Amino acid sequence: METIRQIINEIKLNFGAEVVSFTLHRVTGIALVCFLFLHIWTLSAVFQGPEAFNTAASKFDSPAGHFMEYMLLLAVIAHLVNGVRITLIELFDLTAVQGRLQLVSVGVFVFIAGYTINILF
Amino acid sequence: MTNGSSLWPWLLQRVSGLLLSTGVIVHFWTLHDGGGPPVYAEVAARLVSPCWVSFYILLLAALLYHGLNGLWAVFLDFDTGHSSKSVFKTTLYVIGAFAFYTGATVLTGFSP
Repeated sequence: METIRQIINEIKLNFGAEVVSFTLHRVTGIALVCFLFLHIWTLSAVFQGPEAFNTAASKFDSPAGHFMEYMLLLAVIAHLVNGVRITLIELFDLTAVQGRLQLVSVGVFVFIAGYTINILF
Repeated sequence: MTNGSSLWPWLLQRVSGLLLSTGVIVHFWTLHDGGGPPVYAEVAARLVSPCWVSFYILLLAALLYHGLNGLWAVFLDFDTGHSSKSVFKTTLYVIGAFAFYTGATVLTGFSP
């Protein structure tokens, strides 16, 4: 608990774009690992035949299901775009232009979020 | 970097991340196109195709490595004692092996 409080405190002290993307990367990363296990488990319904699988899948074909799917996509894209940004900075020593890179990655995220918004409907 | 031997995990985390970036986009674009879950026939068609099954086994391995190594990196930030480190590391290995076995069984054990 003490460590968590300390981490939250450090986030507050260094608050800025870098800390936000760092925190988002970790939160989305942990959420995506948890989701992977759910995804494997859902898919295993394919063994129980077409009807069981379609029944299991249809539970996600609802407004709430589509909302979760969209949130999942946003988490994936945020994690992906930020990961590519980190990799580019590390491999090509781009620390000097990292502010602009951050803007580009936010731009890419917003574009994909807008492009795929029809998932919600 | 935490110690002298973490170059390989660092590099593999980047390599698996780039693999996942392309793989997950292909997966989403082709199977969840337009939103909503795929129907049985679409999934069944994938599970009988050796190419798709190989693609997904590779994706599963990259995902588990990337995800569990990521959890390890988060854990290291908490600066815990030596024994809880090895307990957590063993737990991650067990989860990884079990999830890979389960996932690979689901991917390869299907017959229409």
